Amino acid sequence: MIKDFFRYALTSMRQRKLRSWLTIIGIIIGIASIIALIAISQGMQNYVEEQFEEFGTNMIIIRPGTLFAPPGAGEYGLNEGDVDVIERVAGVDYVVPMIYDYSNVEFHREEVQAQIFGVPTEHLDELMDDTGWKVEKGSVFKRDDDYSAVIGYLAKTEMFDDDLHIRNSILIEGEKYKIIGILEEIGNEQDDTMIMIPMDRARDIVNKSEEVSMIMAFAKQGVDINELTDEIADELEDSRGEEDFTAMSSVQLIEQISEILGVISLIVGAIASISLLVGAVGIMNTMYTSVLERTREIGVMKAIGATNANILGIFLIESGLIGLVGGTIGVAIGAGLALLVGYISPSLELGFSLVIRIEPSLIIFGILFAFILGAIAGLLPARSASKLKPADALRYE
Amino acid sequence: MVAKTIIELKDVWKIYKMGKVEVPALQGVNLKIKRREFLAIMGPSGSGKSTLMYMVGALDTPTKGSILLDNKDIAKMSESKLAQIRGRKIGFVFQRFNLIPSLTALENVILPMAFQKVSEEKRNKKAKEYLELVGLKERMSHKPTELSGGERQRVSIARALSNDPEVILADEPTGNLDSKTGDHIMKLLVDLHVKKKKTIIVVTHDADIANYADRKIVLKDGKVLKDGRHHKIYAAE
Repeated sequence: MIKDFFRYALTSMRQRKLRSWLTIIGIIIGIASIIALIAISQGMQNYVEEQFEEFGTNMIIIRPGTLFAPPGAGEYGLNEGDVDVIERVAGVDYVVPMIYDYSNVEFHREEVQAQIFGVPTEHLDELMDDTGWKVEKGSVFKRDDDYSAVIGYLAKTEMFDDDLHIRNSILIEGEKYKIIGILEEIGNEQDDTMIMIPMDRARDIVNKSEEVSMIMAFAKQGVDINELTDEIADELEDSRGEEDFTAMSSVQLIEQISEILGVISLIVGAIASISLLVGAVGIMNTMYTSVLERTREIGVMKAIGATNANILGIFLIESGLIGLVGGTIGVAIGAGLALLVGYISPSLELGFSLVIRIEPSLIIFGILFAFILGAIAGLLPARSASKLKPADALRYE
Repeated sequence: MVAKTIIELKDVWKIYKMGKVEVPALQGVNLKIKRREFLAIMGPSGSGKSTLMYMVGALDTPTKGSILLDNKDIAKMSESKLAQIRGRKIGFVFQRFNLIPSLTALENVILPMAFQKVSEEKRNKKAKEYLELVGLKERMSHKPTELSGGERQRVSIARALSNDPEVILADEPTGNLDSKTGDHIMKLLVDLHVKKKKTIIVVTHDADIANYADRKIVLKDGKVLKDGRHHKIYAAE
């Protein structure tokens, strides 16, 4: 009998094609936006978790400025004095100051503006370990390496027309550097296109003797990273006289990003839910109209033996089917949209690329949710249909 | 042998409330309908014959009085029980055919059997039989809009037969048809009465149609004015 109801609901939907489709579109929009949103925020969540795994949990980043002004190349708000202050804080294992700027780089007579990244040669192995950066080919520079460069994964192929290789020489501000290492992919464009050179060389290039762009501090094992971050911030504030910097642990950074992502997901989710609600109201409206239109038909069905439960079932299945069709198409469009966002994310310059995976459970959830939503939206109209008195319904013009 | 009473109305009143005014549509109707009768319910519009049809067809319950269907009072039955009884015992034929427009002729005939949970195989077979009986074997897969008025009414007769009910209740079955087609439909009903031994109740205002019946009831102002088995009753009016 359920099978008959499905068939009947389908023929009746086909009878009112335009209206059915308009109603279905409402559901498609709602479901598509929710599915796309969930898939994208899962992708972001995955990215954040991966970063977390790479970072380790003992890193503290100290940058000039505030949280929402990202570290720009060529900014120098901190100096060697700050490095000394941080080094003296108990619990700090080692400190790495960094210079981060743009410079002219030349290879095979092609000149480009590239990011150079000055790091001290000491602690470099530990830094590589703690940041999760790995060398794909060659090695990083040792203490006495001078005029050597380690390049990022993308710098190898993207920076110049000709690919860079180990032992190639490039000119930075007219001086010759030998490429001794190429890094594995880090995952964000900024880091992957860098040219890392020894700190002293970087100082010469940018002509700054004291200033640094960023300081990374690493905690000793067993030290509470968040407490240490607070302590470093306190000490720095004392010595600098004001809090014109941001100190953040890798843990806090991840938490911060997760929190921001969470808020964004919530807001977009709320908007998507509203569109779904509007879709559900659309179903309800369509079903009420359908009940009104088919009042005589309902009367006839009751006359030929349909019980109230039969009529209820027929209309619930119809509204559920509207939800189901909308849900199926909506899931397909939403998944497609999310995959598209993942596909174009590297060119969006977000600083990272999204990997979108569409889980089977998400597909099932979307379709099932739409079906149930449709049935719920149809509940009131279906009830009013089932309660019609056959004699009244038959008299209805 | 005395034929068994299938439907009995005892002092049936139906009062409609129109705002604050109470309009009595039926005022104390007593009526016994016996098995295998061919009965015509007649009367001008407003006489209460439609209301009476709804009562006899268990589509509505009386304000006062009782309606016995196989000696059971329908006023005391739940709505689903009533629906079940309607589906099994009474086949309806309406003036405006009242076929489900989205379904084919065959599906329309199947529908009452689906509500009675008849197996798919059996109801397909039976639906085809009944459509053949009314002469529509060739047009089974057509939708109502693709059929003529006479054909539609024949589909609705096939539908009325589908659960093999004892009673066929026809409300102005020829009202929307030309007289020639109407005669065909009436002959079909007579056939069902004679060959299939069905109890036929026809509600009509048309004396010619009523003449097919062997018992006529005339309603006026919600009361039975005349009840008789002679063809001359109406003519004498």
